Amino acid sequence: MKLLFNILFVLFITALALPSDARSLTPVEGLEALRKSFAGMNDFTADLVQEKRLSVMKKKLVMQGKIRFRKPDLFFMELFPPYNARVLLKDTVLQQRMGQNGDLQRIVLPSEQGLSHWFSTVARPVTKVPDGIEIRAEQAGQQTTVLIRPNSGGQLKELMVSLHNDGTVRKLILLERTGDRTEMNFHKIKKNVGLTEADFSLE
Amino acid sequence: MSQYRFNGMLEFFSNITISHLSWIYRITRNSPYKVVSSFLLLILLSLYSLSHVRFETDIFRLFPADRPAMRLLLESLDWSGGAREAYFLLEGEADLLPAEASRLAERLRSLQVDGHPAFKRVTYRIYEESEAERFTNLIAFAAAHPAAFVPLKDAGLLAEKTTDTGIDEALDSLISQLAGSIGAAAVPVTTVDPLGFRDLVLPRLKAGSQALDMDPSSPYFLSRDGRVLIMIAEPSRPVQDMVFARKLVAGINQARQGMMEVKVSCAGAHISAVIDEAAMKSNIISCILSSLVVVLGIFYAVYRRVWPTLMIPLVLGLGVLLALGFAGLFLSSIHIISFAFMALIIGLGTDYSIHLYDRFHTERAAGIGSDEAIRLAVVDTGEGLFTAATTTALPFLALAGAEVRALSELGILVGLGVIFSLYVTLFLAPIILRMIDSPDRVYKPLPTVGMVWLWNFSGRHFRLLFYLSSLLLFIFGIFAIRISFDGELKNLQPQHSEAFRAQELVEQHLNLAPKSLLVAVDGATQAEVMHRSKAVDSLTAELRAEGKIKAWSSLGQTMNSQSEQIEIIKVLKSADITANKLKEKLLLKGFSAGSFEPYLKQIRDGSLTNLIDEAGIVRELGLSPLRGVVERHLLQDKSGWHSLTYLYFNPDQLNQKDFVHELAVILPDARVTGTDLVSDELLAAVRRSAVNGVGIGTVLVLLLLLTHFKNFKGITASLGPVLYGSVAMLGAMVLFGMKLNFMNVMVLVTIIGMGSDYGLHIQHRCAEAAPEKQREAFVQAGRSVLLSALTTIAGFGSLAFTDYGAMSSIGWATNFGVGFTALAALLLVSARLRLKA
Repeated sequence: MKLLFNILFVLFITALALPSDARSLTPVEGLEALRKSFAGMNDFTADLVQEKRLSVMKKKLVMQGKIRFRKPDLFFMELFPPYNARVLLKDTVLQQRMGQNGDLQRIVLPSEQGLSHWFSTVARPVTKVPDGIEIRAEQAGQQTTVLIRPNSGGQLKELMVSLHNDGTVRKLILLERTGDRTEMNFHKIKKNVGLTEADFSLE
Repeated sequence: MSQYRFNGMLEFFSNITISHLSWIYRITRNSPYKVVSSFLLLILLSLYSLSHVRFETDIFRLFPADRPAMRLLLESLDWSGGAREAYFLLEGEADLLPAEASRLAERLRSLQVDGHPAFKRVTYRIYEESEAERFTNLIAFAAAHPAAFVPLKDAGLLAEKTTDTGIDEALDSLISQLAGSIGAAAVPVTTVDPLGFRDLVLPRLKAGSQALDMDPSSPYFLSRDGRVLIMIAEPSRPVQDMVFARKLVAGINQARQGMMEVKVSCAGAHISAVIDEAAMKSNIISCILSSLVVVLGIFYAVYRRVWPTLMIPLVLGLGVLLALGFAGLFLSSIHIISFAFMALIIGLGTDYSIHLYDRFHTERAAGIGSDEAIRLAVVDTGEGLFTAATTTALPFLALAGAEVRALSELGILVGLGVIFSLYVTLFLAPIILRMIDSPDRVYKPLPTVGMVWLWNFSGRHFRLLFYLSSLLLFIFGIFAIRISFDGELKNLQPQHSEAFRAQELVEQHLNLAPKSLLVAVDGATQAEVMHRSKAVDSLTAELRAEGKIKAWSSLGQTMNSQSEQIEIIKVLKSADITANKLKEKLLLKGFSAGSFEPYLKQIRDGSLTNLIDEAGIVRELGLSPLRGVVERHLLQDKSGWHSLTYLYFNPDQLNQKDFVHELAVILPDARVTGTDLVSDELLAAVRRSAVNGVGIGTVLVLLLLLTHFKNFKGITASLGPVLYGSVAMLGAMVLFGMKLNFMNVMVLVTIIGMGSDYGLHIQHRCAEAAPEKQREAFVQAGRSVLLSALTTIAGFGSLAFTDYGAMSSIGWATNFGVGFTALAALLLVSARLRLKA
């Protein structure tokens, strides 16, 4: 853990030390970068390292797993033991199974939070920032970072997406109004591998 | 001596009738303007009376609401929101339904009426994100007071959750949930229920909230077969606000436009009030207009006179208006279905114009002067008409006292309509005929429409006719005794209405079982009804255990009673769980104990072992997303509190009468309803009405016929065809797969009055005519009878083709009855006259 902290510290210092490499983007450019990263992709898989800093826990939760995504509306996440959880989002229907034999929970999200809604939105060329959100974006080296802040008083305070120039998402950070923070880092990313329905199963 | 007095009395009544008709003849001749002025005054009075009459469309208002099962059914519709909510049933492919439902819900939520949201809420999902906070609050309450909700059978599992191992497992599971959920979504629920008591509570709450047979694996209100999704919406204003209801329905229709992938049916009071009312009105208007066109067509085809033909709508219109105006004096409201029966007046009321004009025309064609022809038509034919109209009207009016409003209104309106049509004919026809007639006008003999052939045929083959008709009567009789009764109320409704379609969809796809019963326990306080309804719960649980019902629901199924709580609390008291212990465990597992402090404080305060007042539990449920469970099972109105229990079962699974009896033993004042019980009540009421109607109607008709004919031969001639027609009607109904129902059973009453006219007219004209004049009299009377029957069939025929099962069944039954009765009168009465000759 100390090692990881040191690495992060070094990375942080490096980032501060190399400000000349970072270039601010306009909000529209930031969203365009997001859009383009998804434009040429039908599906992807990645290994996941997720860190959660939750107010209810004294220490952060670090977990590993896999994620899969397929256009237009399928997302799957699996966490390996000891946390052992699987999440499937099919457009607006969120299904979760916690533990090896946990009950299946189903929740329907409002349609504006559905995957197909998001991806149909980012499929169109961006000409202006949508109402209700604030965007900040910058490019540093081969990495583009887009920060999205909803103006409404929902649970989510901030969403940060880091993209590589190859169009893959490398990092996702969710910051909630309660102070809870979730950071997802993606590795071994593979695009357009031809995922099928069978890859999106909770069983 | 008594025979002499009796005959004298009959003579007296006969003379009064003739004097009355002679007076009408004189006044129409001497003071036509007075007659017309009097009618204008009556029209104004009728319009005034009619303006104070309310027209109702609710089908349930047609039935007696004072019967226990029907009253409870109507009350439950109001309680359950059936009278307040709008239902949208989406039919289509399972994959498409959620997305289409989402589209429709968004449209409905954004729908505005007069600048305000049209709906208070629109739901089609088990879990609504907007209800997250309320849901967390309920979990918080249940976790702090597990005794309120954890089923007694799960007391062992609850005890396990409070052991050291149980706590460790719960906290490990908590960490998994926090890790596995998206972001920090699981934090709120986990902090209020760290021990995971919700695992024992939620299945029970979910089961208790199921009023329909929905797919448990779907997050939507979706049928198990995935074909139908139900959406429930609560309009922002009550159904009584018709202006709002019309705008709402216009908005709904707009919202569902373009829903190409699924079919959307709507139901609910607002929708019925507007859509079904509009459909009903157009149905009735088309019914009236079509029968009027056919009747006028028949009249003109035979008499070829424009003015007499145009006289008919005037007579009918006035007859209907005066009848409604008069009925308005003692009826505060008239059901729109009853108004549809005024179409029958078109068929029945035209008869008098036919007979009167036919006689006038025949006499004029025979060279009689205009005035004498009118006198013969009004006084001589009028006597027959008078008897015929009263024999038709009185059996209808005998239904006025029927317990079933549908029959009572039918009787009053048709009875009055017949009488007023007769009087309008008697008063106005002579005036119109005088206006259009002139001494030099040529009256050609009228077509005999086969009556000459019929007279000759019946004279030559009267024995054959009697034998053949006896054989047919026997065959029809064999079928008639196989007639059955259809007690399904829904079959009386419009078969293609939105509400009917929606009801069918619910029955086919969403009902927990084909049959259901509702038990209501009433009382002054909430505690009283909840306590007393435990007896119902016990009885119902026994039935479930015996496999006599498929499912049941009550508030007691969702939450624990005080005695059940005490049992759970005993288990918790014996468990070794304290706030400090839980805090230690939380810290050991890496939790920040401060986040759980509110829950720990409640444990310190003894919440786990506190006995909760049932009203408190109900209040918490009422504030949660599961408030529907409370609203469905516990209600308060101005009469007090009502605890409701619903039983669902298959046909033949439960003996409903036995259940009602058993319930009465344990809880004498509990009330029960269900469609079968309502049908039984209605059947009993209809049976009483029918027996009374047939009895009173028959006596009245017999008396009138006796007064008219003063002998039994005339009565036989009048009622013989009715008997034949009634048996043939029932036999034909069986042959065509029809059944008697709550409405058409009354045709057995009304056919006595309507059908006796045919034989009466033939007998009246022919029996008293000299032998050499009998043929001529038969041709005139037979033609009138044939045309009368045809116009009556046209009137009822229009009903036969309506969408309303109630009206349609009456239409078909009456058409069979009138058709066979008229045929029997024309063939058998003439044969009998020839036999006598």
